[in-house]
Amino acid sequence: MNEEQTIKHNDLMLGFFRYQGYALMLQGLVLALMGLGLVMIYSAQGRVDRPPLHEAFFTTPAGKQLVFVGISLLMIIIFSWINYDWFRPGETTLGSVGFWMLLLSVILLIGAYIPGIGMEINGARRWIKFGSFTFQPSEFAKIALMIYLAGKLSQSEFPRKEFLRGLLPLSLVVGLICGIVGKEDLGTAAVIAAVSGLLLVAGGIQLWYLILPAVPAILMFVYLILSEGYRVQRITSFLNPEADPQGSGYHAIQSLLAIAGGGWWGMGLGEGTQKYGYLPEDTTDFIFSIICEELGSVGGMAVLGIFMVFVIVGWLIFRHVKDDFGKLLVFGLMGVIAMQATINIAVATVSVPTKGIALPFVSAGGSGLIFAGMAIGIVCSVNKYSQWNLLKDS
Amino acid sequence: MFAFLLLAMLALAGRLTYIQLKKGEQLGIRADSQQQGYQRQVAVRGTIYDRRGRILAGTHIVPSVYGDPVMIYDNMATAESVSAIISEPPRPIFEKLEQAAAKKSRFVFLARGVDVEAADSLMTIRRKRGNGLFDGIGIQYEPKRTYTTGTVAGHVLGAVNIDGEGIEGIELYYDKVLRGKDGREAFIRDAAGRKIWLIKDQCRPPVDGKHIILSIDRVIQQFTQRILGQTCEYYKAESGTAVVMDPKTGDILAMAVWPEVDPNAFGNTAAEIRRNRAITDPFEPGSIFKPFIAAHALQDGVTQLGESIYCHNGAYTVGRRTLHDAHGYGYLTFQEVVSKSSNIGMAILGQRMGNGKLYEAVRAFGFGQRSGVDLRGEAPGIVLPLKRWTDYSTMSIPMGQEIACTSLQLANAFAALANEGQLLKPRIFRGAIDENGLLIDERIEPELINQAVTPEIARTMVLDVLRLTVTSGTGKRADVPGYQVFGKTGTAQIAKSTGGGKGHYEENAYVGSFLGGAPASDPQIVVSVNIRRPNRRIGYYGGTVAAPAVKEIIRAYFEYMHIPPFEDPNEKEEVKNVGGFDTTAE
Repeated sequence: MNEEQTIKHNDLMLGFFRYQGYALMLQGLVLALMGLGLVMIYSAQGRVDRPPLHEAFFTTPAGKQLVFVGISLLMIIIFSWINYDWFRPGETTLGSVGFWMLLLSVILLIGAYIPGIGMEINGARRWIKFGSFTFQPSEFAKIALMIYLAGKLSQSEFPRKEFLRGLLPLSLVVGLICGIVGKEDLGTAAVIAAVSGLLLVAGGIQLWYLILPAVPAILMFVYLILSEGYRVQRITSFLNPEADPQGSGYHAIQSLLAIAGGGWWGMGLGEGTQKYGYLPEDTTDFIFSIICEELGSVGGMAVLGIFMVFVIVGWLIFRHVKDDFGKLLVFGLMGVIAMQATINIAVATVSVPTKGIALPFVSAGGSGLIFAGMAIGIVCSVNKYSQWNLLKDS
Repeated sequence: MFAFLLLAMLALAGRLTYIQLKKGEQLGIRADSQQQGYQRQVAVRGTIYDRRGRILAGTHIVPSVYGDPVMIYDNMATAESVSAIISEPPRPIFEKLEQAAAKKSRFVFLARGVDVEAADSLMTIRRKRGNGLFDGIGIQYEPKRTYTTGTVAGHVLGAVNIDGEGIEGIELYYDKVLRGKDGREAFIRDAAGRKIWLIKDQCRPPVDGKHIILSIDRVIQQFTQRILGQTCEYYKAESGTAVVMDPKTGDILAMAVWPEVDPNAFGNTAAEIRRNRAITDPFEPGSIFKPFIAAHALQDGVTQLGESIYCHNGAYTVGRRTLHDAHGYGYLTFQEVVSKSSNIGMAILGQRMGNGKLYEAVRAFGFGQRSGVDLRGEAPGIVLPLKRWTDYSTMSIPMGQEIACTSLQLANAFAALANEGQLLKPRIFRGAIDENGLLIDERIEPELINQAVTPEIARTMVLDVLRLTVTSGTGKRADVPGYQVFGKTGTAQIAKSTGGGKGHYEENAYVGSFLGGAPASDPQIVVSVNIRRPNRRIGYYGGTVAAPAVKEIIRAYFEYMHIPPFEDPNEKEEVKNVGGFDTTAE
């Protein structure tokens, strides 16, 4: 081995290990959130008439979540070992993984609307039946769209400065996904649209071009709100929850009662009472309120703190990664997760109108957890392989 | 974007702080009130036992269905579902829910005292269906008073209202002892109203009521009521009373009133029938009053055993008043005046005694004052003050007129004669049993009110005078061979409600009475039977109407007590011949 080769070899090895601390931090944060989620779901699922645990633990939300946490951890390990280069678009459209994932997610999203395949829970068609499991395609679509957009925007030949061949096709893809998702799940659609828009800007699209797709996007957003009566109610009841405390203002009031009841230091783990049928969706969308009730607002701020560190670590990774595809992947995937967390907590604290959106890694729910694990795995992969890929090619 | 997200999260932390600072207090109170529930822990009312520990009134726990209108989405649908299970019409349930909802009440009884199985299936269905029609429906177990033997001792026991408060009889008199103290359970409940855990420092356990033992004997009470009922029905009477007492202790062994009342259906019974007439309704006693005056005539020395008294052949005129006897008699001995119930003979004794002594006699036997029995609503009877007594009174009082007393007063005064002249306080309460099963407040020693007459005179009255009434006087139908029954008949006219004196009586309206006891040598029971307004065509004399009833009661009593006859009933009874007169003549 000559000197030049030795230097290159050393650089390659350094690439592996130099930034491994970020990945470890990221995984540590995720593990902390998952652990907190498990404990809180276990607490929140408490019911007066639930059968003893040993009888059917794995049918309870906490039992299921334990399995999903296992799968999610597996996803993190697998995707952090797979070189993210695998997701990079190939020479042709048909040869790129991102495209196929996107196509699959569109099919699944449409499938959720087909009776017999799709499933309705609480009046919303967001799920696909999969034997005894249910699957939420929008969780997959989020990740697929980010991978697809990052791939497209990182291609050197992509005409990012042009409107017709550059922005328009991507806007249409985003619009399509958001449209299908938003019909039943406006919160997730809003998260996807917001992060996609930011991703497009970060990918080099002219900022003022975005105004053009933004106008129809906003119009569609307004249409979707008005098309479902309950959404209008949620907005009016957000402005004045006391107007209908037993109806549309119920979620908001009960969530506030949980947070206020917990005080600064909380009622103690398992001691909360809002979970006994008062606060709906206590293991999923409103788990943050249960955390605040039992661990106090201090506990809630700790959760916020974890997500803030999560964002900072995302930024550190984003900064050190040198290739465009990797950068955009980190941006999109971390952005989606952090944005979702922000909106969820905003809903729980009645800072924005009520939306059904989960707190990543904490809320009960398999699809979200598994694909969030996949996203973290990919981010770790980028963190690890980006330098290697650059050096290897040279 | 990263910076934007960080800022948004910082803003949310601020929002949390804002919630705690601004709304914490107000919202916290609301969370408490929506989650805390209270439930009355009802104290179980004490049991009432008879003197031998048989249950007369008990309490058992029955389920009642209640509703919480706030938790019910559709009152009609819920009312229909509940009514289908407990098999009651849905309409009243629906109305109760609507009324409670209008009042913003969160608790209303929908059906009280439902079937236990129905309540169980209601709760099972509620559990299985989870959130549904049965949200806000619950079962609360309530004590229900049950009078195990129905009408037996109904008038004595009285009854309780729906909330378990005594409203009559023993239930009212000893309400405080029986009732106990309700407790309270405070708990955190889930949204469907189900209990999660207790708030220990706000809970108060209930204190159950104490049990009570009565002097009543259920068996004696039962046959007394049966015999009284048969008598009243046979003679088509308006009402009747019977009191059975132990003369040695003043214990009331049975107190019966006809028509009977069933405390289990107290609310549906007319007030007229609910009244315990044996203590609430005074009446003019008539001839059964004579022994008390006669005893004092002996004591005062105005006459003596065997003295011949001229009875004016059935018509005796004093001033403008003429007294009559049912049969005209010439000379009667003192004993015969009582045993043949001569009004004229008694009037003469009265004249010899004078109003002052008569008044003393009346008061000595406790007339004109409450006997002090532990039952609510006792009437003192009527004895006019001495200064309002006239010459009329001198002759009326000895034959039981111008005076009114209750069945219990008569029985108790008669018991004094049977108990060597000692007038005891009649009692119905023997003791209580506390929560540890210990007997407390036991009443053993009889309570002496007054020595009504000397023991010798009392014994003479029983053995020589009252026994004679049964063997050869007006009370022959009361005799039970071998048991030395003694007694006195009475047939009193019913005074018009406007007041006393002749001409103030209703036409053909009588109280047929008999005061009896046995055995004469050592009296163990006294019985008072009074039949009000028997049908005149069937019979109305005390010796006809009431004496057989007393006989049956005495016979049943000794049979029940397994006491063999004191004399051989087949042997011809030898009657004491006092003063050389043939008392068996006639």
